[in-house]
Amino acid sequence: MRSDQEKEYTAYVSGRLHHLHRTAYLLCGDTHRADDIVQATLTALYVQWKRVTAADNVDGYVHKILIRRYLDERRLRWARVRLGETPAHVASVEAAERGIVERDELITALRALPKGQRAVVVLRYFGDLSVEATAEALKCSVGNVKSQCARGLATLRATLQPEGQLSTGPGMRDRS
Amino acid sequence: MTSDNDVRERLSAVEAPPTALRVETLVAQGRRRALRRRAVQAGCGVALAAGLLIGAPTLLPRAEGPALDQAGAAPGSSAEAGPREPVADPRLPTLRCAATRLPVPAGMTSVQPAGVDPSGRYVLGNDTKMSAASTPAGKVSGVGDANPILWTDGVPQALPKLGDWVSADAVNADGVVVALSGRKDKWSDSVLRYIDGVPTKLRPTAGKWTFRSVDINARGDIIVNAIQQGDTDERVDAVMLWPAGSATATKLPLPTHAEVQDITDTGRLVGIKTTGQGVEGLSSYSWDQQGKGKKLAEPSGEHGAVSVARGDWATGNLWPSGAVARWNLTTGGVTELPVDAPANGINAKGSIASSGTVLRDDANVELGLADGVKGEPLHIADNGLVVGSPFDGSSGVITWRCDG
Repeated sequence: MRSDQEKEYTAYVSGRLHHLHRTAYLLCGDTHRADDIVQATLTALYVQWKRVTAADNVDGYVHKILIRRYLDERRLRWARVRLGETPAHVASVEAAERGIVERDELITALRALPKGQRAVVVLRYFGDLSVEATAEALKCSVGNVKSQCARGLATLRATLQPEGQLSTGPGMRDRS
Repeated sequence: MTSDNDVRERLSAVEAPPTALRVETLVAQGRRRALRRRAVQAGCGVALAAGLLIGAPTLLPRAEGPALDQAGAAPGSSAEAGPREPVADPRLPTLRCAATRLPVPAGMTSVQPAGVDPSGRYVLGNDTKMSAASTPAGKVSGVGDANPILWTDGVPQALPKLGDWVSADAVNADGVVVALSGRKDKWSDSVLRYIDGVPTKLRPTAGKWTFRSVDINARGDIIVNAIQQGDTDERVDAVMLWPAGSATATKLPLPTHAEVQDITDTGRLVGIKTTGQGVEGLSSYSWDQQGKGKKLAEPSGEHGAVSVARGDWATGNLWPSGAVARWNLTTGGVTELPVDAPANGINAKGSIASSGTVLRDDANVELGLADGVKGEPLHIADNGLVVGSPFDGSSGVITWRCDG
């Protein structure tokens, strides 16, 4: 890569790293695994940089790679152990800890979704991707995105109480 | 009932734990992946490909030589362990270097360091912005704006632009700055020299050129790599030299596609030469200005890519391992350090800025936080001043005072 192209790449990564890490974290619920996913994504991006920047949508390409990395369990088999160790949080906490608890509630609720539904919800509602862009990133049909999204939201609504309380039904297990 | 907007707001409100990823490391890993890919594409064999596919180097550290050799790998490094990080040598004292964030001129919000002079008095940086031609979706279609900044004893001065954008590359101990400039959204077509903050455009040899990586030594010799405009293979077509005080460039008689990375105070040129596409065609040289070269040594199975030189020393990385290398330009010898990170800078004592620290023969170095933020060292002066950028890639220049 030419040095000027590498500067472009560095500028892009500097500006997007935090957002991509958050996206990966919402998908997998584990910060170390999120780092793995983002690292693999951005390393692949470096190799393809010249070609990708000639396209219309760098972010779209990056989301595609990131989703593929997330869905590829074989590369990250160890992470299942980590997810299983996530502690359950109780509702009564100090106000200062409320943000962390709500974060964990949301992550736990997301984990209750099948991976496809989880990816659709995160890309649509955190990544602000259109239905079409989400379908392209996931390599599925628009109709499939809509139905996965509807089912995912229905499960989230059932899981997340309006005041942020976490329900504790049998559905709260990691199905990833 | 949780509405769609509730879901959106709650997702947006999630503060993920901080990432441990560093932009510099991602760039280094990207380089390694690119070289690996080229090597595999070049059909260099299943064995090499298999070796390169492992995330961490398979070479053991070469233990001979000074204490700097001990800077590296934790026991049991493996592919799963990832790149090797510096490890403190318990036999050496620890040097803790206090950090300072340099002030920036008003309105500059995307500042990155570009260099430091050997005395440590002058620090160089640029305020760079993505091109307006780049879209919010991330398409990069133009060259971003840039404006150089020179700090003298810590006091910033925005240097005037000559051209739509100017990106400074180096400064010497007299405060003479060299920079590249260009038209809006176009690559560099001019080389600038700043004396007392006043820019002058230097005249290149005949032809239409795109320039990259300009450098200056103590006496004021200026060196730049040039590519013929319209050339699509992106390799350097000419290396031009403006001897100190001269306004006229000379094309140096270096080998075809030689690319100079640095010029020493004695006028020696240090750089790389590539033949073919794979890592096996990569090698590093020291040339005199008549083009007589000496290949820099490489450990068995490795290829050297020198990146910066100072005095008797040069540093860079070895490929395919990605390890940091230090060359002694007098003896031609190489030391491989068990650290897998970009070799960013080196000073006259052979201390190397890399991987969040300074790799030294005589001490372990801990670089302090600047306003609670960790930094990545990129340049190092002979007096021990280290210059770097915030670890998270945000705007700013950090300096660390490390005695000696």
